[in-house]
Amino acid sequence: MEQVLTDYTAMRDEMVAALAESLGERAWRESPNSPGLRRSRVGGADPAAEQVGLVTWSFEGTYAVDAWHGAARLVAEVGRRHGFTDGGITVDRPGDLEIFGVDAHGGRYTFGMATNTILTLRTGPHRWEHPPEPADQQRT
Amino acid sequence: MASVEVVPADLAAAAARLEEAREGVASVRTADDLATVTSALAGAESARAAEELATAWKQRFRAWDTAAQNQIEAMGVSAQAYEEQDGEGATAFNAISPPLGAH
Amino acid sequence: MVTMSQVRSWRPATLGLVADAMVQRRRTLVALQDEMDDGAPPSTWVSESRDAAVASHTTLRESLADLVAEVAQVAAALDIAVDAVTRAQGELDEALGVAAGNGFSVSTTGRVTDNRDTLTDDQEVADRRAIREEIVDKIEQALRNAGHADTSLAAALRSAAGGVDGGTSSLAQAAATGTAGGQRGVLAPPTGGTDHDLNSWWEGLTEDEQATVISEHPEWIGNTDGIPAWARDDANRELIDDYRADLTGQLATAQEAGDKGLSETLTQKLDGLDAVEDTLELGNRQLLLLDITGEDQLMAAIAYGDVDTADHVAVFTPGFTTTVAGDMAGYDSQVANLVEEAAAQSDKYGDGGTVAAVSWLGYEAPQWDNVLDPGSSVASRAPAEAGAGNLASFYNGIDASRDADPHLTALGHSYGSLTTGLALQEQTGVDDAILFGSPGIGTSHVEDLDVSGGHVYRLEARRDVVADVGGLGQFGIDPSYIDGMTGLSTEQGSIGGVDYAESVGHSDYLTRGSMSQHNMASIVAGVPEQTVEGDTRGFGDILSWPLPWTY
Repeated sequence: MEQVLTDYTAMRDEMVAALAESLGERAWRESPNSPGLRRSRVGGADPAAEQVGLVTWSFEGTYAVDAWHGAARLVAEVGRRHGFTDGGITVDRPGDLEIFGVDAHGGRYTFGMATNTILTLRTGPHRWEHPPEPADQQRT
Repeated sequence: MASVEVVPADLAAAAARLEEAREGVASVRTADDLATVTSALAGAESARAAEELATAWKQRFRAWDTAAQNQIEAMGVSAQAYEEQDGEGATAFNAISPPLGAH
Repeated sequence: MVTMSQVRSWRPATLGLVADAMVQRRRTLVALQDEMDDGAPPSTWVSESRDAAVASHTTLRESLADLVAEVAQVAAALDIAVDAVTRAQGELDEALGVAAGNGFSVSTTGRVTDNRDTLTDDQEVADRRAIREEIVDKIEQALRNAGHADTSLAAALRSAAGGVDGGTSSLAQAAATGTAGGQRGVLAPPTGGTDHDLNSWWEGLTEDEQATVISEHPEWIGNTDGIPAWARDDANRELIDDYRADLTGQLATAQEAGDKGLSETLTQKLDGLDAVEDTLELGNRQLLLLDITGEDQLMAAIAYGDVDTADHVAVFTPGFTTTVAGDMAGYDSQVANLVEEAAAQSDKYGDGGTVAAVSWLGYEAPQWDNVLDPGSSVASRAPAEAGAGNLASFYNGIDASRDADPHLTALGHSYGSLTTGLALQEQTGVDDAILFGSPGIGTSHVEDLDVSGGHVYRLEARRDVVADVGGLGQFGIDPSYIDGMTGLSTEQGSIGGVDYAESVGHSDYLTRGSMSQHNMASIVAGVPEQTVEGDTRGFGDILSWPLPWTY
């Protein structure tokens, strides 16, 4: 899990950097809706395996509508470099676009633009080498 | 045994320090504090309790002051008596107990 | 009992000056330690009279220590009283503010009168009565807190007047003894109080007293509705070890007596405690209820997120065959996913409001092995009725424990939807209700639920046989046929184009990526415009179609 989180964080940073380079800097911030690492167990074959949600990044408002599909392509390209396949378009309608990608281990990113713009990441089931104490779950 | 000169000097020093303690205790005046409690909590049970405490402390601080004064005086007497006749001091000390009474 | 006009006349700021002065007096006295030590009969003095001098000095020193202890006790008690009286006055001011803001007047004796004289609407009458009760509760609790502050201070002053033993050690030690004696006992919660009473009681305690309650009387608040979630969580975590020891002891006794049934029950409760701890270990959880006293099962409720601060709070009540030991981990995971989805929707479409949700296993849900027990079977309303009162109180407690009510959604699955439906027939602060895989909600008329029109939702998946058992009469009709409920889609599809999975059967509603979960998350996040409406009715629904004149 530790390695997965490091990789995902790097991927997210790259996604945000790619968007900034093409479409300009935005005031991305950590959503208060996703404090720290949010752990849950998945059950099934390996009861010790957990899924972890990373802090959601978002900014108020969004890009110009005619740039939306381009923005989604940029994010998907970075995702592909990190082993994510394009999951598809969840929503594509006026005022609302959302894509997602999945990796071989059940991890998933979501990139969406509507009222606001969000980038969420959640891992697939993995085991921790050293599970963090609840108090130590730093924002990632 | 210490010399005849040393003992009276030590007794005088102790008495002086005790006098400082007495002055320190005497500087602690609580009557006004407790009267303020009574006025700040009009009608409260605490207001009545503060009055009771004021009475108790007035008596108790005064008793302590008297006992300390007696002790200081008795040490002075002892210092004087030391050179003359041991035992007179004991009489002086036996006289100071009553003001503090039993707790 | 102190009166409102008395309490309002009290001057805690002045009392604060006295408290400060008394602390200064204590310091002055403690600082005389050296003078007292130096003032002892000198060791150079060896004579019969010295013994008498030493004895009287000892009396003097110990008497001073007693005075120091008394002064320290009074200083500490005053300090606490200042805080407590200030809070009580603040509570009174708040009550008067609520009264003034809502058109009520409060007499000097504390009588609350509604200034509006013509109320026509029943709902308005009920609302006004509720506000009035809230004001009365707040005033009563403020006066209780003020009274407690007064009697505690009076006791400390009288104890000092009677004399405090400062011991035979140093003056500083005497001061410490006195300071400890000045601490007041913590006021116990009012018995039989409403959740507002209990919240006022809690808010009336100082921070130190709250910490004392959590460490020394956690059982007072762990399952008490109206207490903030953080405090319930702390208290219940304190209790886990005690409960484990208690159950382990009971288990040993049951095993000795050869009582297999009881041993099994106790073992399952212990397994339940393990499941609770495993879940808490994940962090970002609050343990809002833990009760080992159930006849058959451990009861528990765990929140994902922070119920004290979340803008959107959901309470999920599962049903048939649910146990803490067997199901808490799974429900917690599903609730976590629901919160994640709702939070993402809130971030993307809404105001970015924060989300928390509770897995509420706070009743003894029916199990397979008691299906045949007429009092506790899944075909009976009895367990649901028993749980509904607790659940309604839990909903209300969330509102009562917070300054601002959250957007509150009740979710009930399976038999839990019956429990939820019954709970919602009481007055609660629930804003939206989602009933899924429901065999019935305890009524055949949506108006019986205390939820605004258009805010009751129903989901039924294809081939969910439980959702088709309606018509048992005592459950109410199959919710598929209740007018006024909004059906939400459980089918594959189709938001703007692609990719939400269908839910099939009875236990697939909260599956990640499903249309069903998406829809529930939209309601929880307060963005109902993101839902996809729909009704799934199968062959079972035709069989359960009620005859109109029968309900």
